[in-house]
Amino acid sequence: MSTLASPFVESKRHIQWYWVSCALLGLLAWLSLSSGAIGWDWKMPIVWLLPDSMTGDVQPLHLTVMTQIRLPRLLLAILVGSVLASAGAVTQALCRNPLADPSLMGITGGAAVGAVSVIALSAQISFIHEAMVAPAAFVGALAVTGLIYRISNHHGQIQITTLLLAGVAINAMAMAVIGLFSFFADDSSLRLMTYWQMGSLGGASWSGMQYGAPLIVLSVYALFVRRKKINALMLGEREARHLGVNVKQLKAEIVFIVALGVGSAVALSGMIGFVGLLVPHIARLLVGPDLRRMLPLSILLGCVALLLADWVSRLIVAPSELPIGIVTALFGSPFFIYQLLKQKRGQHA
Amino acid sequence: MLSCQNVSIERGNRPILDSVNFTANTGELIVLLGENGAGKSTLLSAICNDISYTGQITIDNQPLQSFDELTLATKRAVLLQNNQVNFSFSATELIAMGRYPYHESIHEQKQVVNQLITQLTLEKLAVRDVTALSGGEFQRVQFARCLAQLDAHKANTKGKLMLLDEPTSALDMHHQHLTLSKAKSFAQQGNIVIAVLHDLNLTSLYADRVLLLNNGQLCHDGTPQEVLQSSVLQPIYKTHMQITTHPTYQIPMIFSEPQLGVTHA
Repeated sequence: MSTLASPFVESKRHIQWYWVSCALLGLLAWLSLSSGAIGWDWKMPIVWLLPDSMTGDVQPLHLTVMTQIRLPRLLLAILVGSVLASAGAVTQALCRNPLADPSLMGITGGAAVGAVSVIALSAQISFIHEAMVAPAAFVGALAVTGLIYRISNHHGQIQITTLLLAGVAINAMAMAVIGLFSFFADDSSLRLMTYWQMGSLGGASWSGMQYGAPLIVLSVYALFVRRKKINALMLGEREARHLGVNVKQLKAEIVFIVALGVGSAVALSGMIGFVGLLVPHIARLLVGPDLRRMLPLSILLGCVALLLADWVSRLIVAPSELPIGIVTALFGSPFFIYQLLKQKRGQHA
Repeated sequence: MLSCQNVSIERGNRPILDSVNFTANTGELIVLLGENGAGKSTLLSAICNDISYTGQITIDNQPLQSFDELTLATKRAVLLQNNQVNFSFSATELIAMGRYPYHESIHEQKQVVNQLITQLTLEKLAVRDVTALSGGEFQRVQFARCLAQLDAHKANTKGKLMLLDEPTSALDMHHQHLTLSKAKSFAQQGNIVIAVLHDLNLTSLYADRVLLLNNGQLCHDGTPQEVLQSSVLQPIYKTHMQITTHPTYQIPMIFSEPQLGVTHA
């Protein structure tokens, strides 16, 4: 018999996990700011925050590296982590299955196709330029989200097998399109495309984020304020409607917001997979599936996960770095297989 | 009060419901009977406003479509068949979801849910993971969620509509009676309960009124004594049966007979 620790929202036992994740987030932010290609110096964030405390110890150049390279990168990790995790949590509720994930469903792939097409075509066609990368990523994500949802929705019930298979097909198609573009691309576009395919936070800069960051913040916020409604969706579409939720409108809103968030994230950092699958799962284990508790924790843990993956990707091959998408996929895919096995066992029980 | 006037539904060119007319009054527990595919669930879906229909359905003389979703949610609750939840909510959390249309504090919500848990003797299930419940246990929790949605924990709640699609299909005898007697007392305090059932004897024991559907048409509408007669039931269920009177209560009891030697055409 499986019992759940606490059936009600305000339970104190859940609060501790928010503190734990905040502490982890702080620790990783500090690690992320104080380490990098030019070396490790734990004092740097302190000197930056309190300039009078230890003057002279840190070179001004290093401080510039921190504020111009590491700080935007930290912020980007937080933005991308929070949006991927919350998009994952909400997509799972929408599909009523904990195996749904923007990257497995092909949403990130669709966004990458949009982004890569703009990069490839901007070299050839004069009126297409790189400022269109983000809108193109959004359009790609929106198209895939709508398509996938339509394919796998059968009389208001989402078939998870159809959903995942459609994701496989769309990812294959996305890879083919990206492959096609890279085949014809020149060297500089090729580098950019590879970067999009494997995901990286290395391109973070203050100027690059000025459009994407507000959109990401907006989409996380838009999902967050809908968490109570989306909760009801987990019961089933008809059930949610009977509880007074305008399901048709809510679904359209979710599809749009998820596409906006994931599209913006992909435009800034490329395809980073499995965060949307892994993080909500951990959050659900800690505080249960109720989005009123689980979504805030997912957002926090999404930041933690991305900062950790980014730190690992910089650490393993220092002073060079691995694309972060490789790190998340290395951790995420075995977990996905484990989840599939678990669901299979559940069906036989 | 619920009223259906000439409610018809077609799928393709096939009529699923064919001008159904009836008016349900407060205080009534109405049982919908009929063979598989007779249109019982479709009629419930129409009353839930889940599918489009021709004709008119009104609740308290107000057309169904004119209700705002949240207001309607505080007036009528629905228990559907074959629903499954894939997330590990506790039974308490699931019941509490019935309180979605209300603006109330967690404390108030907790009180409502706990009262219903006691009334339906769900204490042992309260902290269980709903994905690990048996079919019958899950059905009881979902029934409690519907009651929570209609303020059924209060004895003075009136004018609500509860639609139950086979609420006892997975229940043992004890819980069949527990569920139907709760539904009955909820109806008696001034609400309407419409339930699809397949068990004719349970229908006889609990129904105030029976609606019998056949091929999308409402062919009988009356008290259990009027509808549960072999001349009415045999042509529809194509089963031999004997009908006697309950030894204690003056209500019909149906005994079906084994159909030995009948070859399936």
